[in-house]
Amino acid sequence: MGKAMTETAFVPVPQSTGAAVSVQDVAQALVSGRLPDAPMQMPTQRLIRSKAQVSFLRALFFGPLGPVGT
Amino acid sequence: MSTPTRTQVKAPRRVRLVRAAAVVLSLTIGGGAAAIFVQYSAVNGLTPLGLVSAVFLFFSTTWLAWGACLGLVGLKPFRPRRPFTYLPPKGRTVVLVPVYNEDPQVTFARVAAMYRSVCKATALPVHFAILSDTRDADIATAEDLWFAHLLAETAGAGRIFYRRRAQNTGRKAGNIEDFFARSGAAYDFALILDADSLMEGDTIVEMIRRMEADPELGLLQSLPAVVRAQSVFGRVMQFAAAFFSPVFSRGLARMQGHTGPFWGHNAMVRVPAFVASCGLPVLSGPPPFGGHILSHDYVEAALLARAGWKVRLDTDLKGSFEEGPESIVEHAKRDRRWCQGNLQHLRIIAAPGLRKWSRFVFLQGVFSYIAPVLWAGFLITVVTDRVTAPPPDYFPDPHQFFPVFPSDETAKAIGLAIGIFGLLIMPKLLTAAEAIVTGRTRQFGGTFTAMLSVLADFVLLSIMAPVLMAYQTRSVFQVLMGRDGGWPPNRRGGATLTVFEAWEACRFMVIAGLIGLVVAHFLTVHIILWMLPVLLPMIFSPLIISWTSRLVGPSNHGARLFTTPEEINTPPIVTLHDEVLARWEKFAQTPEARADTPGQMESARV
Repeated sequence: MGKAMTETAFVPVPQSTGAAVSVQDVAQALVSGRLPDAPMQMPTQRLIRSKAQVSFLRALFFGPLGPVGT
Repeated sequence: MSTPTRTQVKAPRRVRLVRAAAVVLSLTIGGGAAAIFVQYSAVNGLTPLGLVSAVFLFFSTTWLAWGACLGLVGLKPFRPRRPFTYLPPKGRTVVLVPVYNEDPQVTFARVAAMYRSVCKATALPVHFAILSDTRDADIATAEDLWFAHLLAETAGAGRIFYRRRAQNTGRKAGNIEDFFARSGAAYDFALILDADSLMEGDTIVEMIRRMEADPELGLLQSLPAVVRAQSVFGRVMQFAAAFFSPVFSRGLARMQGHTGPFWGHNAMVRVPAFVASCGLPVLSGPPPFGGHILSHDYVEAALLARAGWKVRLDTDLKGSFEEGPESIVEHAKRDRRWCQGNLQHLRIIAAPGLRKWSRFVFLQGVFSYIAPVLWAGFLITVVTDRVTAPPPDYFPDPHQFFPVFPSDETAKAIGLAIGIFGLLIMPKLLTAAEAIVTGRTRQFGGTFTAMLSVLADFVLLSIMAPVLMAYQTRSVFQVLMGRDGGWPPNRRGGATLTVFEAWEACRFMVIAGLIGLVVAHFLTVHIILWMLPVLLPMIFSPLIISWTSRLVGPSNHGARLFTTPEEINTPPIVTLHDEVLARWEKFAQTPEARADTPGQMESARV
């Protein structure tokens, strides 16, 4: 039985802007037998509003009046 | 950091009206229950503890009423969705199968079955990518071997891929993100599955069509049916999911508008939308509230909606399947992870730009886990209030001749209890009525079998509920105490637990139940009967857990208790998977496989 592809099968590629990869590019990758090298950047989203919010929640749960007050 | 650039899609007016009506009705019912309780408690003088009990009751009953509203709203079936087009789909699509220490033989056989099914359904070259985060070296080796076998059997080279990460950073969400970071630009759509997911090729093609038909649709969630349950617990849950879930999910679908749910699997995403909107940050501080986001799916749905994409649950999509836990202990393990993930959402509930409904969904997630704690709080404060209450004063005026008896408010207490009980069972009764009227009971072995199953489901769930609630309560306290539950691998398939194994997993609740019984007996013996339905299942939890994990096998006759539609008419994809698996079992025993892979194809079974 042949050895399956693992992470080492990937070729490092420079980060792109996420532009669509052409059909030819994909076809070439498939011929080579590995996942297409078609990188996209996944920008990290902002989820925490402010430090004040974090402080409030911390006080709520871990503050002296919280259920697990320290 | 990125900011939303699309305009958020406003929920239709009808949806907003339904939401408002459900919220107002739930709050009114919760308020009414609390008011009746205050009147009842005030007979002997309202104490601060009595008021605390009323607050607990208000939140608990509001939550119950909200569940009932979801059921009511979902009673009316949707009109069948007309096919948008029968034209062949064009979108470049990949099916993502993240795995983590799973049995590779069973999991990869699912990929083989789905690949065959998709090839039969469309000429479109749909790709499959198995994204392994497996840490166990033996299982990793077996994955390599079974992948080679998968390619050889399906001739899927160039369409079926496998890769294993060196580090499982960010767990499942990080696994998917890693794929998009490397290969996302090659695809328009990605169908995200779990290791135990199965989908018909036709369903996958229909999902691609629906994504193509609505360019604003960022995520399409299907409603997976549970299949292959073998144990008592598994079959009860499987029946409940098949019989009741469609109604509650329709209720959810009617209220969600364009801000639907993502359950992490059996859903298709528009790759550019997902990649641009769903890069998750690592939260500051240690777990459980900090670190990687555990329940990432809810957050990703909220982020897509924030960025102006529609997120939709289509309950009419058939041919989507998953497997469920086979014992209370496995259910509790998964629930512990969900509990931590949902409570972690408190950190992001006020995230900038989120839709109001998304925040409300986070709040619902939190409530679903603290509800048992609220009920426990209500019971404890009621008992304590009763114990510490002064005896009634029959002669408040020292000069009066006749005693003054407190007014009898027992009728109100009984009415309140009946009302709360009604909230619990009314949605189920109405669902049963809907199933009879619409003829849906035929799919469950006929009206008699279906109603017997509903009754047995009610009895068994009543017995198991205190056990499940005890686990949930413990989970909530563990999270609040700052204990991280980690990411234990799922144990798929059936495995009967002995009473001793069950005892090891639940002794805390046996002890808690015994203490509760002793306290109730010595301090407030007259209310002990009210406590027994909760305390007895806790005390006998090892027996309940062990008995319900007993393997009873699927129903093959169509007339057995807890029969489901998928047991009467086995879905083609399930049959196909069974066939592949049977062939692979035989292959694993051949001299060729044994010589090539000494012991590894079997020893890696998990």
